[in-house]
Amino acid sequence: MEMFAHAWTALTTTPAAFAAMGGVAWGIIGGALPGISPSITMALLLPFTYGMEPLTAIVLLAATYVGAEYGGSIPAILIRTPGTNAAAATVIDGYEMQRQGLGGEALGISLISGVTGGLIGLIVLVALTEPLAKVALLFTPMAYFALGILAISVIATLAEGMLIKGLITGVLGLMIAMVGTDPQSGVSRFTFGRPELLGGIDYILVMVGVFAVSELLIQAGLPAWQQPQRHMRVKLPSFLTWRRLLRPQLIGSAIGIFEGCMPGAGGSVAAFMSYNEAKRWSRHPERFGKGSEEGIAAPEAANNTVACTALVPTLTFGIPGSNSTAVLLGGLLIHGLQPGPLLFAHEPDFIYGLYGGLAVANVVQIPIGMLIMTPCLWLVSRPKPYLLAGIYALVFSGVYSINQSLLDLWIVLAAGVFGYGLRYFGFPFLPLVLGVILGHMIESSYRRSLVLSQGDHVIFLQDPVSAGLLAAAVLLMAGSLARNWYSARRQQERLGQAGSD
Amino acid sequence: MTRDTSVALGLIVVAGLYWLGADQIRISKLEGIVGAQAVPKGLAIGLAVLSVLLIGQQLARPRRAAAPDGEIEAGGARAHLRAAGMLLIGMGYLAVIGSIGYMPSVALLVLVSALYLGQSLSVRLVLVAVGLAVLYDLLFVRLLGIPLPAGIWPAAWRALAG
Repeated sequence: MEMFAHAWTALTTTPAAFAAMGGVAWGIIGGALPGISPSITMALLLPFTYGMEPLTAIVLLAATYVGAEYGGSIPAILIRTPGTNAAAATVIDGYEMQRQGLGGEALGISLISGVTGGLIGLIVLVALTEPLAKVALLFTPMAYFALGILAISVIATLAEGMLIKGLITGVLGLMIAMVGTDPQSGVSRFTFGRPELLGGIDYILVMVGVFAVSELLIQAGLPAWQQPQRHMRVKLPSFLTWRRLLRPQLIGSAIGIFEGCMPGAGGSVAAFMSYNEAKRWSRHPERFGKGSEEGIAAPEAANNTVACTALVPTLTFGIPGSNSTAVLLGGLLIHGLQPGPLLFAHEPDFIYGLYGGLAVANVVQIPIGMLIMTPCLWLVSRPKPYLLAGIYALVFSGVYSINQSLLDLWIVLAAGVFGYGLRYFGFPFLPLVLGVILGHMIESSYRRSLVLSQGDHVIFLQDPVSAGLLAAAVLLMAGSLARNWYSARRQQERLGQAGSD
Repeated sequence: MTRDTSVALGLIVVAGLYWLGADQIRISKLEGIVGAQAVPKGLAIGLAVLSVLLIGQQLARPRRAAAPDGEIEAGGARAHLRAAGMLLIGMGYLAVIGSIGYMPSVALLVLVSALYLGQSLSVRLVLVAVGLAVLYDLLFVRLLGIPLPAGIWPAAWRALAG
């Protein structure tokens, strides 16, 4: 009851409810644009959140994430081009329905399934986050250092066969985080005599550059998008249809809960897994791939569930499991909100307000999703050069508005080139972003720990939580290396066989 | 030499330069057991070690097995050139925004970017460029009150007005 009171107060005394609506609308538009992922949609908003109250800013970002997950299904259904990675599974049956003249129905199922999944995800978020955050009360500086190392290791091990590359980008991120004034001694590091760099490199600049600018550079070399039909209306399913689709929606939500709570698994894995499971448990598996409504309901419920449950590791331990939650973590830190138990103890209005904002975002998705379809289709059918040029100008304008510094714009461009290079050479860039965000915490916890131990590194093994987290990091990396070694060996055997044949 | 090996060698050079940069950090009397140089130097060593491991991984990989591709493989050299052109347009924008001001530079950025991305020059394109510049000016300067560069125009106006 107290939670509802906090949420109600937060929503009625701040513009958070309006932020939720605005975020959903912006997210749907961003998600609907092919090539513009939820994280880019959120990163483009980040500069605007500087002047906002923390709750309004974070609800805006979280609602954008929620909206983008639905938005991604619009081009997936209409033009066979998923707007987001997570919407790739929706293409299979969504586009088939569109070809059969049932595009409006497909969009309606996607919208309702997304809302169902999102609300289930929200219940799980509310139930799990606070108890898990209490675990973090046991954390010492040694444990925080170990947690930072574990977070980078987890993210680095996620990209198949790229552990070393992931760790390299994590280290590069930490190197970027070293720029600026050393908080303990006050000496400047890597500032090259530029006073603008004394405060360090804002992780927003790195995020906008790596996510948005690198994508613009990539899109410049890709062919134009297919144009959608200009006239399309969302047709919501009847109650009976919704009830019939409840099973695939619950399957999608169950998988979304699990995948969202696991850092890095993400919406696309959840969407494809739930598609397979929905097909396996369906009474009509033969319809999958031929325009099955269940084939849309399950993945859409899954990726919208993930949009809520992915906040569990982000809010409890400060470990963002995906690009989108990394941007959200950046937003939290910009507003001085450190994820963990103290956030729940000191900022209950914020936490419950965020839950309330997410509830509003999920519910208003239905009317906004229906109302925004026409302008959304109009925008998606604009020629790609106009859209990319407009986004390029928006990136520069938004970034300049943070510190009114031209140097920031150069840093964003440099980060964009860096991100482009990482993507070209096949380096995962999430560890880089995480390194930049967590750099300060890792370094300060490390140095505070060594002050406590008079310089003895054994302290990291004497603290049980720290030792456990470091052991988990080592085990994860060893497991990843073993998998790599095994797959390389199998590849070698296959090549050997092919050679002898 | 594979692409990854070349990158790893480049990263070893970066690690060396970073170490040298860390070595230049002033030693303060205020610093405790771990100085301001320690973590940066540790990171330089870490990067070098990981780069060597990456080279080792490449050597251990079966000869005919290709390394996993990056995300940008379809477009080839042409895609890189197009990306470089887009980057140059952005750099050009940064070079002129201080002198010609925010609104004209945004209009130019949109116009040049759209032309570069394949849109043909038309009255509509010019209207879109000017329209977006006005929209962004309204949003950032008028609504959000952000002092975006005004360029030479206020000074020129004052000079003309006497």
